Amino acid sequence: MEKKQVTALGGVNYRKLLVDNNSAVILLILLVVGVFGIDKFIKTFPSVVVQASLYGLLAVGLGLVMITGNIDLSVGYQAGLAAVVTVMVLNATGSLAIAVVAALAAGALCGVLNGFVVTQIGVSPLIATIATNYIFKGLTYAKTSTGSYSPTDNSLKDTLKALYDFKVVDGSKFMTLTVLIVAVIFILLLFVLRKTRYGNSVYITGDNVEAGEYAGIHTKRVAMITYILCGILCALAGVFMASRSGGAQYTQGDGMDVLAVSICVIGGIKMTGGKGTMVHVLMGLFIMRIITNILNLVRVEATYMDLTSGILLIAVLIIDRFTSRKKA
Amino acid sequence: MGERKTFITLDGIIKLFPGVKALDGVSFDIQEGEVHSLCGENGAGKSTLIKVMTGAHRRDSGHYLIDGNEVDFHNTQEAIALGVSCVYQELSIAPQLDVAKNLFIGNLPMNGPLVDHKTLYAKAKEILAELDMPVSPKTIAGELSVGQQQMIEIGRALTRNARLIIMDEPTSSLSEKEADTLFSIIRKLQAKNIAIVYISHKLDEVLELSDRITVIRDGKNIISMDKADCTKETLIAHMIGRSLENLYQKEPAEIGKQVLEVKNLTRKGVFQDVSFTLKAGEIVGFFGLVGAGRSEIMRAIFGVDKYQSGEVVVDGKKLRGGSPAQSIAAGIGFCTEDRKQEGLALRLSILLNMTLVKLPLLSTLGVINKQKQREAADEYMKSISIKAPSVTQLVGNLSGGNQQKVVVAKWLMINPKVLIVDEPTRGIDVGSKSEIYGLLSNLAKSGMAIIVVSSEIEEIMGICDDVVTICEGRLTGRVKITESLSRETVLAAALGVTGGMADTDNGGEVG
Repeated sequence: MEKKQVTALGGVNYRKLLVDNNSAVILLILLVVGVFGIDKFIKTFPSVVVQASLYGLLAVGLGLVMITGNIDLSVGYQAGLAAVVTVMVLNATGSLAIAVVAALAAGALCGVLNGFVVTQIGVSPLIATIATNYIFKGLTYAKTSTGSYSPTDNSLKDTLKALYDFKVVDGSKFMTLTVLIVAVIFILLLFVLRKTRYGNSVYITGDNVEAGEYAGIHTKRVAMITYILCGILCALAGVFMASRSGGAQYTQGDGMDVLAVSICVIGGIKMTGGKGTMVHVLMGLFIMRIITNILNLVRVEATYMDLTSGILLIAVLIIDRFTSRKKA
Repeated sequence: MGERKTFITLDGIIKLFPGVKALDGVSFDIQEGEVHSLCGENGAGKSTLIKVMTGAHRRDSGHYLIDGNEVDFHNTQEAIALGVSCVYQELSIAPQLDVAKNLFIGNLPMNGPLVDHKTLYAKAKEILAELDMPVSPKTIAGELSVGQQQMIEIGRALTRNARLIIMDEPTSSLSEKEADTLFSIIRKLQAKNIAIVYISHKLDEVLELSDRITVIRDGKNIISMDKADCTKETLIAHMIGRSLENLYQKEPAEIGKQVLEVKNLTRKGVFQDVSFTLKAGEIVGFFGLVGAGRSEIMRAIFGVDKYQSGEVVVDGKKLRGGSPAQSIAAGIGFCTEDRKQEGLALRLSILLNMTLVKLPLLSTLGVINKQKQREAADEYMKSISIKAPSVTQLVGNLSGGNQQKVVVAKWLMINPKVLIVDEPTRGIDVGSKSEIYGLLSNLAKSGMAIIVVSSEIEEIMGICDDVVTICEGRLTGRVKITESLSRETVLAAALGVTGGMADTDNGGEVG
């Protein structure tokens, strides 16, 4: 007893340190297992980073929404729809730049719709975004019902593909343009959440809407802006998706919503809002991508991939629960 | 009292938490059928002691005897089985279920594998009759008032054949009338030989109800007294370890020009035709029963709620209404009644909570100047002595008194012209209360106009210049507080029985 008292008062409280950083601990375990136990883990790591950047955009957007205490289950098809818009506008104008701007604008519009239904009509975010997801999915299918929807002109297709493949540093495997853009966005949001009034409002909205309202913060506006940001980030992911495969694909957005939620929750963003940072999203992102990569490397059959991922996820969540249980 | 049997004996109870000795050898006993009050400031160890008694915590050493036999509870169910029940400050009603099911929650009368509804409702009816509650057992619990919900909790203890019911701040959210009902129920329980451990910050209640009073300070029991040997002053002196000269430290302030005018404010079905004025340096108390519309009027003035007609004018400028941001800009601050619900983001830091309203002034182009923010918070931590290791501490970890100071600091930072404080001392200890009163008095001296909304007459009469009474959404009078003004006059006006107090000539108009 006496010893414990000293710990809590003056020294380092290791238990608290562990509880506060349990996703970091999980990530560390996975890295150690990968580096020392799995063949080719280090060699394939750059491709993990490149792929992570794409999912990371969705997760970062969703993460913001989750910190405000809401949720967005339409992230996958906001991206899917943006991919379609990219190809459409590219076909119509021949300009990649205009196509990208149009796609981002479409994403922003998706965010406006989500934000409107949630904050103005007052529908529960879960239901609202399940519903809007159908709309975005339907619009995506309208153009991709044949399986895929690519630029009509082959040179345009090459232009589109070049975006995803563009290396910022020659010869480096993972310093692609997408990784760089995502890294910049990530650092920017880290700053925004920590240092700006908007960032602080995001946390207040998530932790206690009423306290925010009484302090003169327009919490509905904060939620709206966050949905719009999420839409834009998803749209950017959609542009990259289109660029990666040279066109929009039929089922591209499927399962991405659940994946993004998993990333956020595993990283430590609370479903109840008000808690979590971009660093948590980043950790969740790498936990998820590394698990997938390890399963690929040990050649789990594609048929059993989902099953194995599910079991591993539960295992991770058990570790999370176990390390954070004492907190209450 | 001598013929009463001892039910519970606690002897030298010690409970340690990492970093603190929450209980440091507490000893006292409870007799059958007595009302035994526990008094002490926040953090004195009352809550821990209750939790040890109800089995929520296990003691580290000491003896806990029930009917002379040593007990060691591992959970609250074991304590309930031996007749020790507790009605907590936070109610645990299932709002969607009906009254009967709430009464017998976890303890439903069964008929084989099925719930015996007939017995359930019959028994529930008996319990309700015992509690003088004129509601049907089939009423949905969420539709009851807070006071009635609390009665359900007491009823729940009765269904479990409680011999001791611990009540933790039972009147903190009750109106005066509801509290009176509670007291008569306590008397009835007492007559049935059920013991009550009563915990309250309201010392008048404690003195009225108790047979004996035990004071706890710093985890030790300081003294146990028969009520006859006890006055409010001695009680406070024991609680804080020194005598408190005067709880209400209202110093005269210079009354300046008019800063707030409310004209014919009406929100249909909630309040009607509310008019009053407020001058710089004035402290005006708003008194009325729970549900009279006190908080609703303040919320409308502040802009959280909308109103249909009337106007609010701050310093000559008419507010548009319905916008807290605009009211804040005009110079109104509002310390809300429920600090956990409306006042604070408990999982966030003191720093952020405290600077929330001032944030626009601490940032350039939306980017917060962290150093300025920190300095501002540190300054108020010191000036109104908030006890916490640092401003980065989460607000949820602070005591009630310190949380309340964070709420007040949040508004003081923008130096409002009008400060509305709704139930400023609810659920906080005497020491913090006295500090809050001193603070309000100083603010008035510095020229701030202050509205104090309170359901404690004592408080209003202690620190305000004027009192405005509200009854059923209408202002029923405004008088200057003087030595000769009696509690009864104010109460009568608040109950609407006199048709209004005679307005004294102090410049305030009442509609």
